[in-house]
Amino acid sequence: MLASMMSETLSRTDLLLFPLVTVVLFVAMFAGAVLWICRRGAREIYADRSRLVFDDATGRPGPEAPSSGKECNHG
Amino acid sequence: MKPAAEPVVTRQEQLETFHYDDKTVRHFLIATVVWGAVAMLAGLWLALELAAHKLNFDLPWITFGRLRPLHTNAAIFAFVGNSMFAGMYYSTQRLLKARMYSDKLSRIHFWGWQAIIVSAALTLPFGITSSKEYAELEWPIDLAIAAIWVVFAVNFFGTIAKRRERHLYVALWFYIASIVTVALLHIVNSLALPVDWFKSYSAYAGVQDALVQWWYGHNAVAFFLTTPILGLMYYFMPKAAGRPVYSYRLSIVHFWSLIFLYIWAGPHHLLYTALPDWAQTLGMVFSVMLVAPSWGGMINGLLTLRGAWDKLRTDPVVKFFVVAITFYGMATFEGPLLSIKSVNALSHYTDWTIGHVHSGVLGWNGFFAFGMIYWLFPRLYRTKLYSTKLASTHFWFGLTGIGLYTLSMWVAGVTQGLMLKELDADGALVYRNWEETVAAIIPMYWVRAVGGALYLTGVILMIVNLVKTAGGKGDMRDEQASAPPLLPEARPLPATAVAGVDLPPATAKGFWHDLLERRPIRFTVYTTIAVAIGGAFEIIPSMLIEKNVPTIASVKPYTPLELEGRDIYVAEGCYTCHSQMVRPFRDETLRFGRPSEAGEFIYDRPFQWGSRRIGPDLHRVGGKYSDSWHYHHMLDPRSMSAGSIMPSYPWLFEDGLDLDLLQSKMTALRTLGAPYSDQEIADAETLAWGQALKIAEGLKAQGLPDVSDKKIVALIAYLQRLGTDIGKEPTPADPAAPGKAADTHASLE
Repeated sequence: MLASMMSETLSRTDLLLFPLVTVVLFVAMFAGAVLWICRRGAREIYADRSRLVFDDATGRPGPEAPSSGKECNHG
Repeated sequence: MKPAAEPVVTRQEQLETFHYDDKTVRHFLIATVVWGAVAMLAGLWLALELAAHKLNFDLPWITFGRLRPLHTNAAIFAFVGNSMFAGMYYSTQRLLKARMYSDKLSRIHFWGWQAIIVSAALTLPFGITSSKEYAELEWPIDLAIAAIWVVFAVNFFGTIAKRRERHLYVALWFYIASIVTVALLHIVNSLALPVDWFKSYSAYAGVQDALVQWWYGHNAVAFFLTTPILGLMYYFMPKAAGRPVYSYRLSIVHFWSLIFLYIWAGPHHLLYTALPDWAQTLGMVFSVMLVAPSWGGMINGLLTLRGAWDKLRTDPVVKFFVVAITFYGMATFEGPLLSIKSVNALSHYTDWTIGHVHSGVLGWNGFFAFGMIYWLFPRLYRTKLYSTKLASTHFWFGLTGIGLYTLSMWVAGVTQGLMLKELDADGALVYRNWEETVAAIIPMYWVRAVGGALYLTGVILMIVNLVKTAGGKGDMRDEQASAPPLLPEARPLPATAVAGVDLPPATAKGFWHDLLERRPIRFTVYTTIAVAIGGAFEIIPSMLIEKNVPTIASVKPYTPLELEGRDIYVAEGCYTCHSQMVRPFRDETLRFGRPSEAGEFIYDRPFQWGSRRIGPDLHRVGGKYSDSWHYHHMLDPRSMSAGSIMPSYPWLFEDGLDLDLLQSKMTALRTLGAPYSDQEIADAETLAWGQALKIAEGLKAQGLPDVSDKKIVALIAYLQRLGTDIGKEPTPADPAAPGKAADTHASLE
């Protein structure tokens, strides 16, 4: 019953509309995410996260932060 | 709100001591090396078989069609799979500051996975296969894969549950996506109805089977060969470079956009086929969009070396990683390029695709695995690498090998693709005989074999280096670590220095993604939603909308003998060299016949469209040649087609035709929708023997031996049926022979 209803509904729909809507949503989300990720002050927050890889709890110190490192082409 | 009233408990005061499970990592690393050598040896042998057909030695279990699935499965699931597990077990424990959840589950995972690989090696060469590319294993092994994957998932998520690090580092996100998605892909694609322990029929037929299979096939590349390795890249590249990842923020965008986009791209394997246009367009568009996140990841990986490029001169680990990531970038540029319909029209079914996948597996996966092995091995054996020079030699052997491989396949693919499409001034084919195009690329097959030999030589050097390194092993006990326990987030803690690294205060406050990184269940749910959307949008409409697969009244199920012949075709791996899909191009309709239609495949379980034409398409081969032509061709292809590189199949003339399962097979297919009547199923053997006798009598009349009870008679019945259900109406595009396609072979009959 449900399957036939879905089949009927989808058969009457222009299927290309779905991917179009999805692409628009995706691009909007992608652009929003880039802006959000690169917002002012975000670098400091993520600097700690990126150093987690060196903290394996075995007592070996991690390396110094690189002096030339830049993210998202700004500060 | 200031939590000053809370009693301050420093994390340092609560340090817990524990040990990482390094034994399992060592086991997976050794398995990687052993299976890698096996996979590459099989690959080299296959390359030589294509360059010199006599190397098939008329032995069924090493003939190209049977050995090729073993090679691909060994390379993907044994070599890359074991290397991925090694890296994941090592990095997961250290990123979470916890031993794996259960040592017992780790052992079950390791030995279970090796048992699955051995099962593949014991079944595929004997023709026990589902023929679905990279998912050829039959249903009992599929069940075992699902069970072992669940064991791995429980062990992984159990470790997350008992972690001592609040935040999930970016590598772990990629592991989560891989574990969830591979499970989803494997279960959906492997749905089948068993006939007995060694035979099953796909739950999907024809077009739908093709869509599901390449949704799986493409995303096996995405979520088995790419996302786990990207996770490893985010862990091991900073370790090797001694620097944090270039941009953690970029990694967030990289992760979400990559996993969301990848899942849509499967239909680019089916461009210009009978797949509905809307699905093809989706596959192409999303494939092109994939360049952005893929290159974001590549840039993030390479720029992690900022300020440390000098290591490239001296450190073989960095050399392997840099080349691996560069190959990732090249492959992820070439992939979208090949997904553009106009490019795909030329490249598909040619060696260009073969070169593309090998630049991915040998360049990206292989070189990353080698870099990781050289980094891990001395640490796990508490010693120094035996020879850095030998590792560098391995690097150059491998790089030269990949270079020769990919360049030769690119040249071979473009050459053959152009030759097959070349028309003269009158619109007729310039190269009517398939073998002319094969002869032109045989030199490239030899170059490929040389490239493969160099790559394998590099692996042998690595094995020598690792054995020598292990010989000088030190203290092999599991590495000890200490970290404070993870306290409930509601209890704020001050920042405290642990193990020389300043940690931020544990606090529930933070940004959206910051919070998400601390909540593995929510993170896993969002990841599952992101990867499920694409598959649902593509697969569900193709299943539910009837107009996607128009039925054709004249298309009927296979006769019992043809069905048996089809199963022989599947078992021999004919799909590895022959497609069954005539695309709507003038050169193809001239060469093969009218384009294939979706409705012609509704009884094909599994579909046999193939992905490479080492030999010609067979969808319209029915009735094109006589039974005796097929008889001679299968016994000695050169007797009918001078210059053919196809193996001979003498065992089909010796092995008896076994119809014991015929009724069970037809019953299973009826359950799946084939309209076999009770009477047809009851009379299945009688009908099959009747058709076999008729074909055999015709052959005997031409002076050939009686083969009425041999496998070859069933295969001939199947081949003669192919593409005949919709009649042989004239092909308008063929002015020379209306209604009949060009002779594919230089027939000597």
